[in-house]
Amino acid sequence: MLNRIALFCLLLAPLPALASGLPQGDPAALGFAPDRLARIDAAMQRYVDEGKLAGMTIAIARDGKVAYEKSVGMADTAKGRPMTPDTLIRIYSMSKPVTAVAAMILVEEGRLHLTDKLGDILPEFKDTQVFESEGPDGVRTVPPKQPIRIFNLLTHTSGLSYPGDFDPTPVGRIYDKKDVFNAANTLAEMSRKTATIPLTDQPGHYHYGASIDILGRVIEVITGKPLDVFLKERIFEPLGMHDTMFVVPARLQDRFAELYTTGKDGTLAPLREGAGLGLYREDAKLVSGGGGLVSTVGDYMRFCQMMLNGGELGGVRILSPETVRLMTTGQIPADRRGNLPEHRPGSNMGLGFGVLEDLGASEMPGSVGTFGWAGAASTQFFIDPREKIVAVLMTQYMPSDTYSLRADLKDLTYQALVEPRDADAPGGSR
Amino acid sequence: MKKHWTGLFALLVAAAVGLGPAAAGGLPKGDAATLAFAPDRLARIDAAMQRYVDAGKLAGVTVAIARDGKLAYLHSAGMADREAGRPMAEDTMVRIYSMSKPITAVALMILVEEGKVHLADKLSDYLPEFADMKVQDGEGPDGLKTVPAERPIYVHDLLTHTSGLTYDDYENSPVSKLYKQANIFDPARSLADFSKLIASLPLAVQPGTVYNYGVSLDITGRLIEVVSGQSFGAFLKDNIFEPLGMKDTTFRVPAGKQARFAQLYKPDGKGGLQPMTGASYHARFAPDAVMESGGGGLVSTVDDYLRFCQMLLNGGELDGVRILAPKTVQLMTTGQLPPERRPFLARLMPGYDVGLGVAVLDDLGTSELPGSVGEFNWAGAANTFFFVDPREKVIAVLLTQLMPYGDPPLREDLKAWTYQAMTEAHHAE
Repeated sequence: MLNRIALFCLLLAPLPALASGLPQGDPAALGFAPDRLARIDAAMQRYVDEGKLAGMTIAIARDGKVAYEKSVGMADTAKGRPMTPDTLIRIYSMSKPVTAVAAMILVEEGRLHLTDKLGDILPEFKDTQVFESEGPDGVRTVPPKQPIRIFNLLTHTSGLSYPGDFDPTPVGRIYDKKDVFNAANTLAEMSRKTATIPLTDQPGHYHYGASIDILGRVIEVITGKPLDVFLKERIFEPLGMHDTMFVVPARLQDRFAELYTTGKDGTLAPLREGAGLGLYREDAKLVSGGGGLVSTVGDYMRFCQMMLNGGELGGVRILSPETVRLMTTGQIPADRRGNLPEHRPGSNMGLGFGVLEDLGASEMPGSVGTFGWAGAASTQFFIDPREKIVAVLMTQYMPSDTYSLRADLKDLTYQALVEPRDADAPGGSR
Repeated sequence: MKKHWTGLFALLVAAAVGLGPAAAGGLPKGDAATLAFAPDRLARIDAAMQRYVDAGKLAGVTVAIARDGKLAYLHSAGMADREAGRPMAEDTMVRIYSMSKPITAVALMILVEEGKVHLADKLSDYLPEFADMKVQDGEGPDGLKTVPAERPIYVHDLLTHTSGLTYDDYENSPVSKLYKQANIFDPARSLADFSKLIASLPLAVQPGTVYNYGVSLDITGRLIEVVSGQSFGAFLKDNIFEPLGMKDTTFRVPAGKQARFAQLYKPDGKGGLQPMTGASYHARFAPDAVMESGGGGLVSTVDDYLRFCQMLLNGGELDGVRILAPKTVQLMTTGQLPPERRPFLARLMPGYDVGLGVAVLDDLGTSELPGSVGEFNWAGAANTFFFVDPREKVIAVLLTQLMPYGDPPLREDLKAWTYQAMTEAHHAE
């Protein structure tokens, strides 16, 4: 009898885990009001009905169990493919926390240190200068006051920049001119090109840019393996993230979502050029640790749950709890945070994640210590260690500042939570 | 047969639970000593209130103190209407003025929870009249000079009074003068027209800079109308007053309740009081008033306001009815502004930060009053006060009808009276 039950469990148990990332839980037992969770359906459906988004998925888990997972609308309207939890999504900058975890694996092994000078690992950065001004004679630069260290890459304080669409500055225009993110570049070539461009700011000051891509190249040099291979071996396979990848092979194209923007006529239109779209093709050479991953809601939930668990999931340890604690602790003094307060009020930078330090400044419900990030196609996630909650929002829409989806994910998740544990919340335990 | 009985039983329970507390009103009575209040010390509050009445400082006053959801103290002294010979009582209806603001803030957060509006949204996405605002820049030879607003007004600015909007009764404020000239609180004006009128006038300060107390919560009322598709009054009734059994909270006092409506008083200059007969103190609350002022237009009772406070103390729920989620109440009662952005509040209420629709105590020592960090409160122009202390699970409400605001020091009194009677603190500090 026991044998038959065990066999039955073996046959059935892996299926839900594969389908939804984490095991299904009972929402009420997890402290959520089912009628309030149903409001999330309605809020998502409004985005679709109003023609703002083609499709959308939200998943919420507590204590490692899924309390809510729902997809609405279409992954590809022209092909009539609905959005589902299986849909493959360009997660763009939500790649960064993954690459940061990969770097911290090497730090834990003693092969890399946060204090290591970037120029010692990637010699092309030994002489990189800092932008001062732009005149008729070209760009004037000054030497960096301190060298870029690995810590600076993980906190976006390297001074590295981004192409003009994301960074409309003179330095951003040089990134455009040098076509740094061309999919035909190898990561080694991308790194060498980037190193010839002046830094936007002195190392030590937050400036969002290509830091995590360069960190990807650091990982390659330290390990002697391509970044995609290292991530697959050390993160995706151990965590069962079977649908997370840089290149989408032909056999998976029918699960790959279309990317949308708002066209000139005000309706949704596919975005077919730019936006790093070449990165996902089978002939792409560039492996972008800062923005190149495709994933599913279930895979990303597993990644988040690993972080919430202090570096472990399903008996597989990726990082130690102390490393996770360091990664999710604010690292930059308030006067060096650049435009971070504008984009994420109340947050500081951890290593690869933003970390909420000042709830009152954040303009949305939450808990101090919550960490997360977002992607350029409007994807969002957060991990709340006080409430033991993980939440992921997937969609495919640019530009990402069009709708308040970061607020939506927080507002909608927390309005459904009726049994808080955060000591600062009414009814929470002190 | 069994099914039938179960159904009948459920109906009876629903009737008892649903109608019971609402019909009774307020909060259930508790035993003061069990709730850790000393009865002899509570009796001091009777005496202190009576002194104000006997001295002719207040016509009438009511104080209620609850702990753990139960009433530890409720007492009224003096008259609701001296001329009509009506005593102050627990069912007396009073103008709560700015104590309307926390209610309006809760109403907006209901819509935030539904995902229909976000605190970070631009106000002009919903109220287009607030696009391209001008800000006053001092008076010039041709009148008030203005400069363009340096950033849009966001919804969050309304709930934290950082929108740049002002009030009509500030001396030395040129925009305040414009508000007064425009008679902004004309009871005949709709909230839609009020919003357009305010948006046509310059802001007093740049949006998003400093705390500037003003009509932000009135504009929030209009925002609620546009987002919900309901009149503001109907939205409050459907989503707050009826669910919480706040049966006497209203913008307009109906004919049938006029006999419970208190008179408003002011000092007569001879050490006594006289009724305030000006139309503005009466027409705004008349059955035919149109304007529904979320910043200051509500009339309520001690019973009703206690229920509202208890809902907040419980993390958004009362008697099984959930209005907000605990994390939303947490956000509303968390300080939101750095000290340099709230000098006005620092003068008015030292030690307090700005929450959403309430002030939140973040520095007990600076406040010069007994209390607990995390306590939140607000007050009304007719010297009504409330505070909620989440650490001690205490609520206190003081209602009277006296203008102008601030004399006698009833905010200090309510704090002192409540905490001196409390014999056991729940909280370690």
